[in-house]
Amino acid sequence: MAHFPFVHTGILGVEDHAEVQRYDVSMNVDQDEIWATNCKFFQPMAAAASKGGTITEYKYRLPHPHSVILYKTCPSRPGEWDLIGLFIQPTEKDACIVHSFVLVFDKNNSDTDLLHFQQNIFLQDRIILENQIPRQLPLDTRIEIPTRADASSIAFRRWLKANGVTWSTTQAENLE
Amino acid sequence: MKLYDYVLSGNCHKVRLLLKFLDLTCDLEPVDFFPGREHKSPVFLQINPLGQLPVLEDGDLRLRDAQAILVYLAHKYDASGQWYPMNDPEALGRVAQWLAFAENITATSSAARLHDVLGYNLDVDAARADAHTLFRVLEDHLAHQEFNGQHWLAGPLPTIADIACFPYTALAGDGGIDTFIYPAIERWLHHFSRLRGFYNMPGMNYFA
Ligand SMILES: N[C@@H](CCC(=O)N[C@@H](CS)C(=O)NCC(=O)O)C(=O)O
Ligand SMILES: [Fe+2]
Repeated sequence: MAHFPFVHTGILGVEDHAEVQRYDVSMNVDQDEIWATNCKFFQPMAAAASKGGTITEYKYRLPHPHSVILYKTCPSRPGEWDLIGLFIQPTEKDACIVHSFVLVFDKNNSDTDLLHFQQNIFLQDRIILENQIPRQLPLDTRIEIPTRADASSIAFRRWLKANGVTWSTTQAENLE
Repeated sequence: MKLYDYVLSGNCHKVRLLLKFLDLTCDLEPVDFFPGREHKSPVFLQINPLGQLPVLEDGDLRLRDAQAILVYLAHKYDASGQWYPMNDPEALGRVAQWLAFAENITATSSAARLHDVLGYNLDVDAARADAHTLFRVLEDHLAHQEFNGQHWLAGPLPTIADIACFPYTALAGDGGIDTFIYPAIERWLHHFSRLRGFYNMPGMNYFA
């Protein structure tokens, strides 16, 4: 969420509301999934259907190291969730193809409107992701200085480590 | 006015930028370029037989090609004549020269980006190498302009030539083409991003 005001300025965040409030992270032991819940953020244009700024609630679900599903407040149907999913298909250690879906309640926008809305967001993310250094995910806690807002990324790194995932990750000893 | 538009298209962004610079309002008609390939559908081929974006409609006029649209909009709606200096033959020649150059940037830098971003099947190494050949020419020209105290492609003021060359130079990184090795180009890009009304499209990160 912390990147919303700066990467998706005017859509998923505004610079005047940059604070990430405390949210919950839990490990679903039965299903071996990570969930970040109770995530709340001010968004000027949370979805194509938005009629103005609102506090959007998110749930982030990680069912697999290469998949994420976002549940977010549906602007046009209170009580329902809109879903956005990303399925990452690695092609090399530092390259992948991203497959995605968007499931939203929206009576006013065409499918093409929704595609444009979402592709705009994805391409804003792409330039940031592609320029991250190191290119492979750091798993050693000494490499990064996380803040409270990074609770879910820390849980993700722990989860990968606990499961012995090393593909596409950076170990401290490999950093020059 | 109506613009057939794709949010990730740099060619559409050329038109969107000039509309903004000239304070013109225009309806955007979103086209499902990816993944739908709507621009190649029979219905769209009636609108543009080349199956390309952008296309502009203004009254009875229907125009394809970003550069052609820039010429039309600037000539018709920019009373100052800054963006398209029609009373100065030499300047006009230089503008036309860089409009043609913009087409070559599209054929190379944009192609590399279509490969990297949307998975197009093409020779990306050739596209990148050809883009670098063009960017070296652009770099030399802009450095030369700077020696003469000019910061724009065709003269002392920005013209539609700068608009036409901007998007796929600014988006080159999306296609794995590093422009940080071209300092005069980088200065020109930043200069351009400070024009009043400028706004980023995804893949650009210029901050005022
Ligand atoms: N000369 C045209 C080229 C336009 C162009 O390449 N448009 C791209 C989208 S940015 C397109 O529609 N490509 C599909 C194709 O060429 O088949 C212009 O400058 O407008
Ligand atoms: Fe993002």
